[in-house]
Amino acid sequence: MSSSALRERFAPAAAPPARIDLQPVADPTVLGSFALASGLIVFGLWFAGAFGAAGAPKTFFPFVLLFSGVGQLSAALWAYRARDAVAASLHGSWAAFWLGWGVLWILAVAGTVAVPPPGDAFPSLGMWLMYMAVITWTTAAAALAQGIGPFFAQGILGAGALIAAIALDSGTLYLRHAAGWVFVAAAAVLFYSGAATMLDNAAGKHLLPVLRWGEEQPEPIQVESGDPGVKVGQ
Amino acid sequence: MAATTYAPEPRIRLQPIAPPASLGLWGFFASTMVVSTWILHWWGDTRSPTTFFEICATFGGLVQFAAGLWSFRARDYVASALLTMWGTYWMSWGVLQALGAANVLTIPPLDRPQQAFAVWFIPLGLFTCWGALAALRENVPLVLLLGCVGSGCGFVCAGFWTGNVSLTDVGAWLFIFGAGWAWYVGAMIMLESAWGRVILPLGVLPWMKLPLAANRPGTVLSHPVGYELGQPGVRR
Repeated sequence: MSSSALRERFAPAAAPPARIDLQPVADPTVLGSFALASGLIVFGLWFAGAFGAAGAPKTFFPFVLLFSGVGQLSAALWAYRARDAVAASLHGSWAAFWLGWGVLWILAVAGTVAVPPPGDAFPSLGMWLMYMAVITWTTAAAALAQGIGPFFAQGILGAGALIAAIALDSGTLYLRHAAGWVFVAAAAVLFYSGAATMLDNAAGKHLLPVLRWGEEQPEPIQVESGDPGVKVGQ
Repeated sequence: MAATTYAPEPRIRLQPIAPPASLGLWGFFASTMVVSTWILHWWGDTRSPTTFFEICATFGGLVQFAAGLWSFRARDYVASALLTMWGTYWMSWGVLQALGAANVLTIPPLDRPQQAFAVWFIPLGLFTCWGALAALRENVPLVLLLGCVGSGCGFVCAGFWTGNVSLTDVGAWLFIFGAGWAWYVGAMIMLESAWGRVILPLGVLPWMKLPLAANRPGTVLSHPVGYELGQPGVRR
């Protein structure tokens, strides 16, 4: 090809044709829900006083930091591709919370900072949980557009965050225990939501209600003899 | 064998994503509220930053930074620059506090001049005010958010530079107002995306990009391309 033809081809006077590419991805809310639910179950049970002493997080914080923090952050970033604004904001916010809480316990284990025992006021964490409640209730209002399941899960989680905030700001032990159980309840709904979505997609038909509006089964566009990505699954 | 030259046709590819600004703005909102209310002595004591800086560094820092990077994909000039910049600020503030908590360096109290820290608020304030100017084509809540935070940087800079607590307090109040608007802008973007219509008024004036109907809840502004029965990414 001559240089003038190449110039014409690669630097055309008019804008080249544009197309909108839609790329299907596996639903990131499955990982996001599992990661958030796992952190909430462990943290919630400890917060409720169901297991462990004051220093128990020294042993379980790495799992919360990595699975609920890093795992959920991955889900949030994939949610941008999945065009799911609610999942991106919810999982991104809680991923940041677990990451920061994990770093706090790294410093506590190293003896750099002191974390107050359960029952004592701990406003540094309480203030954070108050804003987590505001954010989670905002995502719940948006999630109502998706279905009743995500709305309830996030509504309960927001309530748990607010009760925990009041408990930590005031140093009230019974409120702390109540908040822990509310976190566990939110985890149960989140776990169900993630599990139902995963089963639904794996089986290619509805096995459990996913509690979302318009529960029509997706029709994946694929070439079944293709590589992963071109076909659904591996 | 002679090489064959293949000259592919240039093509512009557009790919829809979820709006990244909500997450980034909420990272800014929560971190700014925690720190500003502490500066104003609403809660806590001098040792409190050692136990709240961690989530500032991850939520205001890392996650806001990630949202800023995704804003490049969203082709948003203001968000890609400012969310990324403020994300790096919160991360570096976290590193500073971590070194303070480990007694590697001494962080002076608020009533002592700390010019090496104050000087950072000059570029932060300048770029944020410039963002407010650019946002005059976008919507009023974003202008108010960036205006409050940009001017707050000026007061905080002067306060830390001189050790004058009153100036720092004025800056903290401006940050609180800015953080409130950050929550609002993030919420209005996400609710519009999730419901497919305006839920919170977008605060548009006649010379701005969007039509004035964007101030009316219920207005449908976007018509996303997608196949309803497709997987995530193909449908919204």
